[in-house]
Amino acid sequence: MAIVTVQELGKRYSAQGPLAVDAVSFEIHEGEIFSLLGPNGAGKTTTIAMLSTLLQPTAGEAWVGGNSVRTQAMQVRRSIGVVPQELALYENLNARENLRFWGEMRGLRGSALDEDIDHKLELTGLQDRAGDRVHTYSGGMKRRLNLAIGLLGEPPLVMLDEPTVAIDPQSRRYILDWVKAMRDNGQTVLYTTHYMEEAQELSDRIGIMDHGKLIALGTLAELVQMVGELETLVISLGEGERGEELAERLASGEGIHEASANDGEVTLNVASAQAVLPQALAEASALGLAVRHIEIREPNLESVFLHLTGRALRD
Amino acid sequence: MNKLWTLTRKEVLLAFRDRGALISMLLTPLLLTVAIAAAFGGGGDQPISNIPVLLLNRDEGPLAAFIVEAFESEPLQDLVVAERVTDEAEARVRVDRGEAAALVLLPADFSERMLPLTPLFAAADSQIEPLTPEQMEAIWHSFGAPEAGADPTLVELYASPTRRIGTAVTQAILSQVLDGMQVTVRGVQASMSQLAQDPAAQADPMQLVALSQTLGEGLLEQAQPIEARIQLTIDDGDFRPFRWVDYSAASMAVLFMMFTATAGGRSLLQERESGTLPRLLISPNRPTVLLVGKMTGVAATGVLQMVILWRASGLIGAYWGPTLPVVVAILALVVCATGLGALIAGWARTTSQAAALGTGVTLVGGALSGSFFPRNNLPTWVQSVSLLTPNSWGIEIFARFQSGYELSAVAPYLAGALGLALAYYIVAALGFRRQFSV
Repeated sequence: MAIVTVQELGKRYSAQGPLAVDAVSFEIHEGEIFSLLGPNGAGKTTTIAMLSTLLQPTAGEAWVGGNSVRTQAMQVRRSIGVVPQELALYENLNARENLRFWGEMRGLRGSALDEDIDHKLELTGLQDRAGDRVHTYSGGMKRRLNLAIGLLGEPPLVMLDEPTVAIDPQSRRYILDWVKAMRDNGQTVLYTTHYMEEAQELSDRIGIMDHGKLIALGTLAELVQMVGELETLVISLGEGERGEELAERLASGEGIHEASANDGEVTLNVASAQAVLPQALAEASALGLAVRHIEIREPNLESVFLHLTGRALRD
Repeated sequence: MNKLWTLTRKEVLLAFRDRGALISMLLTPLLLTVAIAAAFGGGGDQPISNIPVLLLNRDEGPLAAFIVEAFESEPLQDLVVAERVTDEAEARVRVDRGEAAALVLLPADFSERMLPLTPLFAAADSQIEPLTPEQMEAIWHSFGAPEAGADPTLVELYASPTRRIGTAVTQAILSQVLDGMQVTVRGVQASMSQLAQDPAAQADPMQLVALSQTLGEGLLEQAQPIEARIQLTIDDGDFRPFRWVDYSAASMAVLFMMFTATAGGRSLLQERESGTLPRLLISPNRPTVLLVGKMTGVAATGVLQMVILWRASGLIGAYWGPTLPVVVAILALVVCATGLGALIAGWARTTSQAAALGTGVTLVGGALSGSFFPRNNLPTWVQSVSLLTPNSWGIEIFARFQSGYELSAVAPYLAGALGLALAYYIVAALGFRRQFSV
């Protein structure tokens, strides 16, 4: 059963400006983790902002828990927890005071709130620092607190917008495990990320966004099928070297379906990596580029994105 | 209501946990109060110049005209700005408002009561004729003691309690002029007394005047008390004397409370930029509740700041007024200042823009309204313009309480501050509607 239904949703920030979200449609089923994957500027955050009633859509409609985001904002807000990309915390309050403030603003009171606060402090591992002001916390601790606030009151639908940006691996693992636990707890999760690995690890279903459009939607297996039997060949170049020219030369090569360059890496979707590799190395040598590392990957979301857009996900 | 309390508590906690803000909110105004009081002393060393004095002359005689001319004379030009008026009620209101230091009211019978032979002098100007014995006899009898129960008042000085120095200067000028006249009158009385003993004698009126002045000055040199037939009434109630420590304690508190209020408004934009406002906006609360809660928190911070400054400045001897009126004034002024903070937050696009606007408005408003020096010394138009700032109303209100005015007498000023607050909030609401779709 769908807890979120999105129909032709669109957002244009100014009359003459481009569409930040362009006729996006999808459903999120109860109890699943649904990820929106895409590069920065793809429209993921704007989509969450509309679903959480922070922004009014300029086209289309969406329902959360059966309530329209346009006309029943208050009902929508009662049924969701949102974890924004920014650290929306009061740095001069401590963790317990932050949790109490945001809990009370959700309408929680009394012993139920006290218990919830204790539970969240335990989950975040912040019990020992609960009385310290937030400005003394590490980035990871702030991220965990930011997440805990969004989960106060155990809302049936939790929206997490890039919750693992700029944090240490330990805190990242902490958060990913927590998201899985939410699903196990019966909560539904809408998760946005530009990290392919996170989407692959967490998601029951994935929507891929680019330039405001939803360009693919399905389970990981369904999406990977889109690129067929193609392999992904990743060539890492020497430090400071750029691979744009190499990708350009290889793009029209035999057996090469897509080629893109990013940050000293050239990514190729190929029918056979073994067949293409000699040609790729020869071209690199001809351009005077040093090849530092070569990796052959099974089809994944990276290759799906490359297949669909002609660009690497991190472009 | 619970949510409002939650928002208010958060605002107060954040404000009082910020050490920098605490220095600005509490320590700086107290230090400035001490510094100003120490520099200018505890009493009325206000700069003295351009004191506005209203002159209402109902007398057509030469003596009242002489008083008017004295106030308008060149030697006093830098000291007083005399203005002739005709509407007594309006003049009193202007004094009440502090637009003028005092109203000098010369009654229609001033010259007649001051010197009954004025008509004879007027006649003497055109044709110098010897006085007849009958005329001198009549003059002599007219100098009798005032009748019992008669109103001794010749001149009324209606003074502004907020312009104590101006009042004192006006009173001094008036007294000096009247004393001079009194000496002349007594001289005339003495000479007439001598002449009356010889009714057969005939005198030249001009000689009579010269004689009376000589005699009068002689009386003054002998320092004999002059029986005052002239009573000076100053309608200043039971006022406390001006003290710099009182003035600066209240004015600095209002000024720095303005900083708090504008910073509080600015924090709304900071919350938008830091992400806490968007998070609040998607909590299950109406945006108006969030805004009202925010502003209530800012107001509560301002009230606490004012109360602390009030009590703390009391320790260094500053007097703001009786407790209840001061509390009422603090509430009204904080509501007003918070409205200004909301207005800036509603219309500024960024935090830095709001910071610049808030600081500018507070400092310019403070300077125009008299936060750094008595506002009575400012030109009238500046005083009027400055009524668009909460500072001015605060200074007017506290000056009156410090002078001993009752709460009811200051009510129009409190209403003025609240009226200004209402205007602020209306304009702020338009800005919020534009910025936050509230």
